[in-house]
Amino acid sequence: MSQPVTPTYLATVQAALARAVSPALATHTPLVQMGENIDKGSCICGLTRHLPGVLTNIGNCELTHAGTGFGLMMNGAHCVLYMKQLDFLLLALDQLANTMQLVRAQGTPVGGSFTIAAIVCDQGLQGPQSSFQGLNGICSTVRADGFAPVAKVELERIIEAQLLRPGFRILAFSQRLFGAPVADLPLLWEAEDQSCFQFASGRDATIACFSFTLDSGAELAARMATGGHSASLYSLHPVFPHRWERVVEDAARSGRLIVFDGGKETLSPAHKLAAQVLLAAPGVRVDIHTREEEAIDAVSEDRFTPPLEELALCG
Amino acid sequence: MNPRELARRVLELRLWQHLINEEMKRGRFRIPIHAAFGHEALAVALDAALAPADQLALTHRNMAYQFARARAFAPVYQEYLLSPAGACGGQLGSMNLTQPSHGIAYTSSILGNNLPVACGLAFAHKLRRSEAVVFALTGDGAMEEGAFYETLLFARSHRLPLAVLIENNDHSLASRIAERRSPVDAGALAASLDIPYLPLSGNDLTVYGQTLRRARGAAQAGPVVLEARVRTFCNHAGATPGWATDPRHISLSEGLVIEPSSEDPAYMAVRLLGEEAPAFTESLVALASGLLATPKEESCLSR
Repeated sequence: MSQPVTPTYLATVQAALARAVSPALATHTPLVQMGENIDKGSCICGLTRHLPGVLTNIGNCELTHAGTGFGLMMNGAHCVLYMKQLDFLLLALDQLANTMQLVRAQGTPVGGSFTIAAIVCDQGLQGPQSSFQGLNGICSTVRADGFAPVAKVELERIIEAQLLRPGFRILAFSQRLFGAPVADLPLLWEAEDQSCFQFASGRDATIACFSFTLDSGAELAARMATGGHSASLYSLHPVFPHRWERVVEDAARSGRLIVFDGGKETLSPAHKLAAQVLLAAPGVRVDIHTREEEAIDAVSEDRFTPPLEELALCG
Repeated sequence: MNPRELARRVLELRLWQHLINEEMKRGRFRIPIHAAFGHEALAVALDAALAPADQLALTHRNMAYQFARARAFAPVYQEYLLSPAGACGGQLGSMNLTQPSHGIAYTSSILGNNLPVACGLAFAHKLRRSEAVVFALTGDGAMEEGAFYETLLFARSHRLPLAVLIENNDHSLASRIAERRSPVDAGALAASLDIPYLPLSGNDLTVYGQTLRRARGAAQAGPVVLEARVRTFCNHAGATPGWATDPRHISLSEGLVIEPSSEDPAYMAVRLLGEEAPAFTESLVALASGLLATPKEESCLSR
C-alpha cells in the first residue's frame, strides 16, 4: 500500500484558491480576477494555474491595478489582484495608503471586496532588488490586514475566510516554500479573524512566528522536544488592531518568548510583541530574531536563518 | 435643461463660492478649502449632462462640482464647518468630500489618485452591463503623474466607460506649465492610445452641454478624454486674497466678481441672461447672508 503523498505548498494554495473561487462565481458577482500574465506562461509561478472563472490579463500598471481594485470594491464588486511579486506593490503605495484611508473613513462598502494575492520572493538569490519582504511594514503603513500563511490548515482557513470577504486585505505566499511539502501541523486554536493560529502548547517556551517563519518555529519546537522540553507555537499575521493577548499570557506562563520575523523591516512587529510581553511579565526571557541586521540584500545569504541549535537549549 | 436656467445656476454657484470665500476670510473653517471660481460652467453643464447612475471621481479643487451636484449650499457648507449636518456628517471635510447619493463616489486630495479608482468604478459598471459612465476630473498638474497615462492605457485596454475631464488652468499652484515642464498635447496623446479627444473652451453652456453629452455617449464604448481650458481665479487653498500682497482680490461687498471675458463663466452667464441678469444677481446677493450659520448655530456646532 503506497503512502499518501504530501502536497506541496503551491498545490495547497492552488487547491484552496479554486475551492474559494468556484462557488463564488455564482454568488460574488461581478468578480474580477486579474493579474499580469495571469493566464499566460507560468501563470504567475503557477499561483493562478488552476483558477476557475474568467481571468483578466492586464498590463504593467500596478498603481492603476490597485486603484481599480478599490473602485470595483466601492461599487460593490469583487476583485482579486494576483501579483508576482510583493515588490510590485510598492508602485501602488499611494492607492494602498491614501485610497484605503478614504475607504475607511466612508465605512465598509456594501458587500464589495478587494484582495491582493502576492508572492513574496523570500527564496534568496534575487540580487539586491526583487526580494522585498515587508508585508508587515506595508500593512502597518496602510493599516490594512495582511496574511502570510505557511501551514496547510492556515493556508486553507485564510483563503477560505479572507479571499472574498467584504473589505480589503493582502494575502502573501512564500516562493521559498512553493515546491516544498506543505507543513501539515495540527491546529490547536484559531483566532476568529485569522490573525493568530496556535499549533502547539508547551511548558518551557512560547514561539511566535511572523512573515513565513513558521517552518523555522516548528523546527525549533521539534528540537526542543528532542531535548525533553515543550514549547507553544504560534503563527501571527498583521491584522489590525493587534490582539496578541493569548500569546502574551502564554509567554508570561512559560517564562520564555522566542519571536521570529522573516521580514526585513527595521521596525518589526516582533519588537512590539516583546514589549507587550515584558510589560505584562517583566521577568520573561525574550529572544528576538528578525532580519533587521542580517538582511544584506545580496545575491546569496539572503534567507532567514535563526540559530535554532542555540535557541533549543533551555535553561 | 434650458441654457438660461443653467446660466442662473452658474451665477448661484458663483455666489455660493463667494460666501465660502468670505467665511474663509473670517477664519470660520479649520480645514483647507480650494475655491473653484472659474469652474462653474463646467460643473453646471456636467451636472446637467449626467444620467442618474453616472458617477464622478473628483480632485481636491472640487467645490464647484459639490455645489452643482447637491444643488444646495447648506450640506457642503456645513461639511466645511465639520458639522454633523454636513453632507458626510462633518467627517470628510473638503478635499475628500464625497456625496454618493449625488453620484460623487470618490474625491482625492492626491494628484492623479482618483484616476485609477475611477477605472474600478467604471469597470464595475461595465461588468454589470450598466449604461452608467464615470467622469474623472483631473488637471494639467495631475497629467504629469504616471497615474494619468496608466489610467488611459488601462481604460482603453478594457474599454471602460470612463470620461477623463482635464481642467487645464495652466497652473500647478504658482507655476505655469511653461515654468515647470515641456508641453503635453493631450489630444495627440489620446490619439496615440486610440482614445477620442474633445476640447472645451469659452464657457458656452450650450456647447459645453452638447460636448459633454457627446462624450458621455462615446464613453459607453470606451474611454474619452476631454480637455477644458479653465481660468481658475485663485490657484491656492484658502481665502482670496490669501495674503497682503495677493494680486487677486475677491470680495462680496463689491458684488459678484465677474470679469469681462469668455474665460469667466459668470460673465458668459450674465451675457446669456441679458436684461434679466442685474436683477437676478442682485436678488442672489440679497439672499446671501441668510445662507450662513448664525453665531448661535455656530456655537451649537462647536459643542
